[in-house]
Amino acid sequence: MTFWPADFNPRDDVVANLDLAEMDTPDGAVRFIIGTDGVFADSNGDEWIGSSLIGASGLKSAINGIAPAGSVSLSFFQDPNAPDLVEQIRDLGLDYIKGRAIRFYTQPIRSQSEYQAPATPPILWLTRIMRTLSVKASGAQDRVITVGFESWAEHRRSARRIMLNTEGHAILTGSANPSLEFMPTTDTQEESLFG
Amino acid sequence: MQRRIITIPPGLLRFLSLDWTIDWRGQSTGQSNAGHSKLVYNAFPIWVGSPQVVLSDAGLAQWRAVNLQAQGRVGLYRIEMRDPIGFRIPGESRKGNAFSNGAFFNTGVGVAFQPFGLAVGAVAAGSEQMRIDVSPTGIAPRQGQIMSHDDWPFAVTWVDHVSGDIYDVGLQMPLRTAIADDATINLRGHGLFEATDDLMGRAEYNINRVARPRLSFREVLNR
Repeated sequence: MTFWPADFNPRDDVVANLDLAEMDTPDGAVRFIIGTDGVFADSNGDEWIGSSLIGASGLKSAINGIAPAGSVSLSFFQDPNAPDLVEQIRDLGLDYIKGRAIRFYTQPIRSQSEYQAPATPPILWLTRIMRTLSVKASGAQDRVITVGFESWAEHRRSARRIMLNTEGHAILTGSANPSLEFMPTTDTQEESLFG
Repeated sequence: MQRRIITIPPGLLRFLSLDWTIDWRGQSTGQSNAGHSKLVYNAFPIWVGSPQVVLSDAGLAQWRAVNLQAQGRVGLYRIEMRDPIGFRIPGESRKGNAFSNGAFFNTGVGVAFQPFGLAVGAVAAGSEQMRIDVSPTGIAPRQGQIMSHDDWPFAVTWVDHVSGDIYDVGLQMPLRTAIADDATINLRGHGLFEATDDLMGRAEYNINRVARPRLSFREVLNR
């Protein structure tokens, strides 16, 4: 095997590894451990911050017509006394991550010592391009921040087309006009016309 | 949230039972019909313990104060991991050490004594053995003893006498911090723990004013 180090057997009855994710941002790479707590210092000297609040969806490879879609999310309770994390993320904006890479690594652990003193650097196994940032709030304090990457509908929303609305008609005729402004967009009849 | 650290006064808890151990946090796929199983370890090991303690009167009230300061699982407890089997100082009193003339402070409490040794040579994180100089106390390390450095506890797995007060000791879990040369090693481990439950430590007492709560602690890695 060339992927794993020669002395790591992924088919052992007992295996140990750490799932790592690295997000590229204008402020440099941000590194996380997915799904567990603690701080992991890898053999390159980089620190990976772990939190059991960080989760990743099932990650797919683009084979057999499956889109390489996925997402990583951070679910947490907003501490009312702490700065609002969602607001901070919004201030940074989507451009902070859009089009940048998120890289997934796996760190083979051959002995318990390697949690503290890893002998080999993390192994890159997946690179994706971050596209979306969404925030979900339920209740007063429960928040989920999700970074999505590379879905099957990737280019659908930004496809070049003329929509059937005022802007679309203006593009079609080449000048601004109020056509279609009052075009019904639903077929709901507020008052029934017949009977 | 700010997680304040509450030090549990060393003499406060009288232990009825102790079970300090390391949770290696492996996950199993379950046992197959053929009787074998596959294990995955993908989390850092932590110390856990659920000691049962006996508290009475003033001690009970003091424990309540300590417990409530931690605000459930928000605060961290800095715990001296008492372990009479692994380490004990002959003739040590729960009240603390008296002055040389035998007197205590006027509260009736003595001076806290923190037995320590010194690291001989720097040790890297992840190491499973180190050399220790116990000349400050003169008490030899024992197998199974829980020591700590910088509030990261570890247990002694083997002891090899080098010379005088200098010993080589094997460690588990592997060291989580690097230890500098001549750094202090607490011969009675200290760790930073959180409660496993918000209601942990509620002490129910009876007409005899004695409570025997079972506490439950889990080490905190994100500090």
